[in-house]
Amino acid sequence: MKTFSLFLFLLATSLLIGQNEVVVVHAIGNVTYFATPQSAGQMVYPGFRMALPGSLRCETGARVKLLYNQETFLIEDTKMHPLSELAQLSKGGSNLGFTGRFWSFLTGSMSQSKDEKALEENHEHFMEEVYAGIKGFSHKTYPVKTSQLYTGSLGTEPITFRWSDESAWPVLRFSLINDAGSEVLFALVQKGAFTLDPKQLAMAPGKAYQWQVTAVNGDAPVAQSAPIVFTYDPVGHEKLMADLSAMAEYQAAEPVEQQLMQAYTLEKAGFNYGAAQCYDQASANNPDNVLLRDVHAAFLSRMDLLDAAKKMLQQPAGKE
Amino acid sequence: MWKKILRPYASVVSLVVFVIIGVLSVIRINFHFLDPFSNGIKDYDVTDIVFSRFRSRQSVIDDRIVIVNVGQEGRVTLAAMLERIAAADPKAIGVDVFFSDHKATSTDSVLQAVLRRSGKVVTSSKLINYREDRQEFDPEAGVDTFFSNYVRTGYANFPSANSKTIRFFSPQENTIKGPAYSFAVQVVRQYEPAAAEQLLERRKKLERIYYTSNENNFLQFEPAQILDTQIDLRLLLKDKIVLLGYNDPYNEECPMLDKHYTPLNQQYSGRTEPDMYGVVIHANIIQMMLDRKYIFTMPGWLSILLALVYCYVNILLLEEIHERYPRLYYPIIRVLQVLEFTFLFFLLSVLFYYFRIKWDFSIGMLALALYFDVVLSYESILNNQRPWIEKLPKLFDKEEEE
Repeated sequence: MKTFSLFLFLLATSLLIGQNEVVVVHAIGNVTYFATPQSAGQMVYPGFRMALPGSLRCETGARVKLLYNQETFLIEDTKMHPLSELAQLSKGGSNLGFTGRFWSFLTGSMSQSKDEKALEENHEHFMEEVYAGIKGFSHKTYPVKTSQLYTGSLGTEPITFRWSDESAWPVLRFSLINDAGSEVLFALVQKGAFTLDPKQLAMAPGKAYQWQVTAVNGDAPVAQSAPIVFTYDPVGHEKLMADLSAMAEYQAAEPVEQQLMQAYTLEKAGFNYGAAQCYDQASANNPDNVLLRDVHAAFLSRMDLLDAAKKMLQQPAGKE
Repeated sequence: MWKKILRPYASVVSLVVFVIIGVLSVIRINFHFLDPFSNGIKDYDVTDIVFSRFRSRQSVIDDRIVIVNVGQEGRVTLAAMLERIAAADPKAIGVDVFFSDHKATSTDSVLQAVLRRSGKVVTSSKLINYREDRQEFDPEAGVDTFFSNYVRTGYANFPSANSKTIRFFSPQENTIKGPAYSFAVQVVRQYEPAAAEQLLERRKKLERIYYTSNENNFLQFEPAQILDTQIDLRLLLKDKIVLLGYNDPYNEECPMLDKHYTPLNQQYSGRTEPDMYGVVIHANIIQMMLDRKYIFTMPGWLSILLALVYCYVNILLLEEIHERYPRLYYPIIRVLQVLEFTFLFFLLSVLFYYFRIKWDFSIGMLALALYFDVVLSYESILNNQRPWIEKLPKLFDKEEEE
């Protein structure tokens, strides 16, 4: 009797534990699990097991397939999802036995033919079910325009984030979010630029951050910029410059050539903002250099700053 | 008792039914006007409904097999992934990638070195140029000797007709260089040789694949996760089978690459979209071999014999019903036919689902569909009043004769 009771207890416990466990079957991109709201996030991977009271969040573009109670669930938005949601969504697996599935197949076929009949009789109700065509592959458009200057890596130098300015947007909300999805800084600003000194913030080296600007009317968002992800790299910029300075070709080059080499090296390593500063400085020092002007304009066009590039090319060299 | 069972009328009509079925199967008419219909159903098998609709929807992770997506990574990344996987000490590694040619020597050398070191890797190959006269294929292709000299290879060919649905696999084929084994067999030979031997001892040229899983039944890793040194792969891959292949449904550029039609497709007739990546098909075959769950096909002669008996019993039943309910026999028989079709479908499904017995009872179904109409035609011919016809057994005006 005792053995039997022990067996029942173990069985019930294992069933309960099994039901409260969520297993990651497939994960793409950065997906973070928070055991409690206060705890640090853990990156998940296939085979990772999570307790039901926890929460899960996918970064932009990430998605995760979870197994809970013998059912699979796909999460692909960037919201914080308490895992307890799964318990509500779960239908307890498909508990239908073979005969039940057979019967639902037979009756399902009948309902399908009924649908066809309803469609013929009242096709207007079914017109919005299917659209033959594609949306195309352009990126989502955002009313608040930014540029590629802030993608890649950003160093310790003060950064001026710029975006398109319109009178219809008197107040904008600048926000900086860390890789766990928490907002680490926000500011309400009035103009199309906001300068930030990374040295004054406790930013983690090597970690990704995302910034975004939202035009607001009261609390309501009116327009947004695309979320832009960058990596905070406080030492990469200096290291690149140190390596470049050690090269014989660099040492033998003219000052303007050296500035171009710096800009090219930084852009290639993903320090777009640093590269832009090099170009700006070189152009300011050499206003008559047509080649430099063209190279600078090409860089701006690569950074999605086509208007600025066009403006630069339209200005005659030497008349800044 | 025997008098009740052995009835001349039932024997003659059964014979006529089977003669008609035989004639229909011999005469081939190309009904082009039926093409939309025939194209839709030619790819259809009753067991496909069992696979796609009657299978349990509950997902359980198979903890013996892990799938790793190789995406569109180059050989250097693939080598790095293999290095990390091999270090986690799995029992077998299957790489469902054709290393068919030389790329850069440096990268190829890195990959070759990793393959050599691991000693557990099976890579994909292709069987080409079947020679009818010798009944052999050319030596395995699709993998350069620069790699194949150091690893086991297994062919990734699947026999499939125009429909492209993968229902079978061939465990072993003959090549000019000797026997070649399929990719799944080679992986199982590495993981559990006894299971592979058991399959080969069945000596079947083709094995029907017993599909039990889709991709949700396996842990699926991405290249970045394999290369992430913060993840302890040993906990996840040790003593398992790791299958590397293309498994990238979210890749917008080529989501259909190496994706195929299987009986698990929800659209069991007139399929429009492939449903399973090649690497998952291999995983299903491996599962089938490890679980020793093979599909048994009812011999053709037994199916025909049972169909004949079934047709005969139905005609006996018709005789009985006609005798008892001479005014109502027609609707009763029609209703019975529909019920029997449903019952036969249920029976065939149960046999396949629970016992993995594949019984092709299409002749029996055809006999069921035809027998009553044959009886009606037969009776109307008998009304011709020709002397030799009158000698044949009758049913409908039996009472009057008696």
